[in-house]
Amino acid sequence: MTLQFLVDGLLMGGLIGLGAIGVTLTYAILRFANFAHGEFITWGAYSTLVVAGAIGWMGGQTAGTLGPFSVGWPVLVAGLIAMLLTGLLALALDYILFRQLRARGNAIIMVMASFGASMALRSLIEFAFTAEPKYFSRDIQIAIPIGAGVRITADQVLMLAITSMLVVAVHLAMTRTTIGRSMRAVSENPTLARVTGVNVEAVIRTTWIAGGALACAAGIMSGITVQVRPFMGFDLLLPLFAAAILGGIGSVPGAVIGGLIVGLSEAVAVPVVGANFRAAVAFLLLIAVLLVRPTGLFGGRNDP
Amino acid sequence: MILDLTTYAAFFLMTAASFGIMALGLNLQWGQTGLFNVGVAGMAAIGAYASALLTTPPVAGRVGGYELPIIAGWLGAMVAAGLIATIIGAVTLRLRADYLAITTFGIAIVIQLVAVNVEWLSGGPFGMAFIPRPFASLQEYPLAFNLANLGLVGAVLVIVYLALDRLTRGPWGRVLRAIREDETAAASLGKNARLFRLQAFVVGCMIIGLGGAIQAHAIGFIAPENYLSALTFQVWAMLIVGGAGNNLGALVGAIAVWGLWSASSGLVSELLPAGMQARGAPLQLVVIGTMIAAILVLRPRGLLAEQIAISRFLAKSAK
Amino acid sequence: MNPPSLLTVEGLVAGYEPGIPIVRGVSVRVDASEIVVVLGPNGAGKSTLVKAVAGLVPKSTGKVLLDGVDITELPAHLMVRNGLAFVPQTDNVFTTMSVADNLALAVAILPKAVRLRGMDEMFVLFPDLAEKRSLAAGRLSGGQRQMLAVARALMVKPKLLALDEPSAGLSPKLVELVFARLVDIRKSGVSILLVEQNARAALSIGDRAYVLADGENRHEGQSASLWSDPRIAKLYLGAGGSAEVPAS
Repeated sequence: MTLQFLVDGLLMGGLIGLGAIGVTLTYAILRFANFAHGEFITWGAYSTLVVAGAIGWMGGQTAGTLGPFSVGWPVLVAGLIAMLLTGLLALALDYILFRQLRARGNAIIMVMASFGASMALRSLIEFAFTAEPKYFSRDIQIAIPIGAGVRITADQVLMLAITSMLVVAVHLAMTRTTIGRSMRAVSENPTLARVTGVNVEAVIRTTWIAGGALACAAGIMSGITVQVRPFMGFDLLLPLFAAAILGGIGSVPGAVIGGLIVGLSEAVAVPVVGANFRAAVAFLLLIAVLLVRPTGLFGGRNDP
Repeated sequence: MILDLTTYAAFFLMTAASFGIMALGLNLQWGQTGLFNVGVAGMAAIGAYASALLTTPPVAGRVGGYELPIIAGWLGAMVAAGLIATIIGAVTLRLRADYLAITTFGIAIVIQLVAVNVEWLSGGPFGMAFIPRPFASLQEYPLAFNLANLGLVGAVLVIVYLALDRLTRGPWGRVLRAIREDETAAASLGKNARLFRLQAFVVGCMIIGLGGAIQAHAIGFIAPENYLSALTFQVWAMLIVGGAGNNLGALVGAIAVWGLWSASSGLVSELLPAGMQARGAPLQLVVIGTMIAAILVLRPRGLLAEQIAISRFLAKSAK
Repeated sequence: MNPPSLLTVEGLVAGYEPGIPIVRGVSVRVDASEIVVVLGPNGAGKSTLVKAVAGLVPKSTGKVLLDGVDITELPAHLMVRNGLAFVPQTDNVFTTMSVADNLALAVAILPKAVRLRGMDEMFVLFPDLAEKRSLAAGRLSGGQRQMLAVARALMVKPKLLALDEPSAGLSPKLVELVFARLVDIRKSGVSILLVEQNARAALSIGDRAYVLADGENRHEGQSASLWSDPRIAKLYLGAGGSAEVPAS
């Protein structure tokens, strides 16, 4: 058996981890499982496509590519813009929907509402773009051998690099900045946070924006490595929840490590059970965690 | 014209009734016992496929095909759903409500995966056809056919409704509600809370499975794509819209949501230009999804009032 | 003419559920550089009172003034900016964050214009915490956690420090320690509003005291006179802890 699965596993794991950070923060700070998080991933990918197309059109050039990568600068710039837009989408969704329900303190109603929002958002995309898959680039990439029987494409290297940078950036933000500490504080104990002077509303806003932006990044990555389609985010929900719960709700490092575990497990299992049963792997991991150690790897508390 | 309308009305009501049966099963789980089951589509699939396997003619490369009578199929559906629910419930019911939601969500996804990929069991992505329809001999007379089927499904609905009513008004129902409110207190009464929850879960799933089987026989063919999360959401929407958290509310909700669904389908195909007709289905989902979210925000009434007790219980148990 | 009080609570009605008030028209006053104690049996509304002052419990009637500023409607997270720091009874430190992070959080929230005690000053005041600065607060002992909770509140250089039963769950020796600290804090010019179940210990450091019952004012006066009033001692102060009253 070669180590090729490592490449797929790390890539997949990285993008699951990025999505799971948003899920775990929302779960810890807003105290509900947000089934609409997958749609941030999907909207992120589609927004990037649209904005990249617009940039390319305005620039009057066909999207040239950067070096050995299959994507050009329009995509990268579009990605940044889309991350902001997706963050705003998340914030808007909170404003229209979740905020109205928060006061009632009923997490289950919020989960139901998120399910409804997920359906509406996904179907809007399907309505606008049809269910046909779209691609960032049709170029076939050459996979370069890097030893130990492993081959990797330039895109994959770029994705791994960007994921690592984002993860490091988030970690630094959570541990060294005021807003990061404020988020950890609210995630543990909102009342004490208030008493300490933390503006919980501002933290909530930041949580949505950050979660949305990271989900967008995950969506772009998924779009570049596989394809862009309306169900792409929804199909990632189970792995996202598995990763967040495995890592311990509220823990950002936990979400990333959980994501890597889920991604690598899927990559290992796929040659055995077939690609179709990918989602089942995440599910089994989820069940295992919930039955054996529901607080997860780094979870300090039993409930969000 | 009147005949057509009546035929359509009969068909509409029959479908609403089949959803109503599912909603009753879900209400037993949620309204009575506080179990947050987001895997309704999975249970409906199990019921539908089990019944189909028992009643369809044999097909090469696939199990089943015993051509049994429809009633055997429906009973088989309940048994299959009950068995799977027992296994799932034994393992997962101890989880908190929102973790149970995620888990049942995952189960439905796995069931759908199996339905798509395990061809020797389910017929693969193309599903199963030639599922016998009740009163098949009447098929050439649409009015009679639809009325007969409406009568049959309506009768099943009434039986299920009355049975559930009897159960929930009796001591079993009282225990369920006591457990829903305060598990520790109920346990101290010597009632094994987990066992009761399991019973409610299993019976609820059996009823949902029955609903799935009824729908399968009404249409005559099934495919994995019928059992996506949209179905789960439809049934939940019926409970939410119906509002009261009680069985009557579930039926009212079934008619209302199915009505809205059908109406929006018609509306969408009217409004969309010819070239965009294929996009009608997602637009319908947008409408329904938005409507549900709006109802949750604006008029949560009944469902919420019934569940305030649950949320206090959950809030307490989450400390 | 007396100088205006630091904290004035007038006719406060407050409770978690609207229509079910727990505090039913309470008035208290804290002057500069004094320790005011709030006592009373369980259910008297002492905790609810101090939480309402801190903005954590909804108020339906009444006024709260801090240094002349009306803070009745102020959201809880802005209290520290106005000079009021509150130490809750339980869950009063962030257990998943380090000691240093707990303190840094308190300070970072404030605008730079406010003069702040540096973390080093705090570690001088609480040397036990200095050695454990990188440790997660959840790993501290009960007494150390209480110290951290107080230190966190002091970081913002409040005018008024409000505490909800700081002696709860602490051994008599630790209670002595904590209360001695509170006296030091008062000496440095910070006023203290102390809600306590342990009446003996509280009255030993308090200047004045209020006794609440059923959500209303019952008695008030100088600590010494309340201490020696047999009616009060019998009704309310009973078993206030086994610690010897330290001389203040």
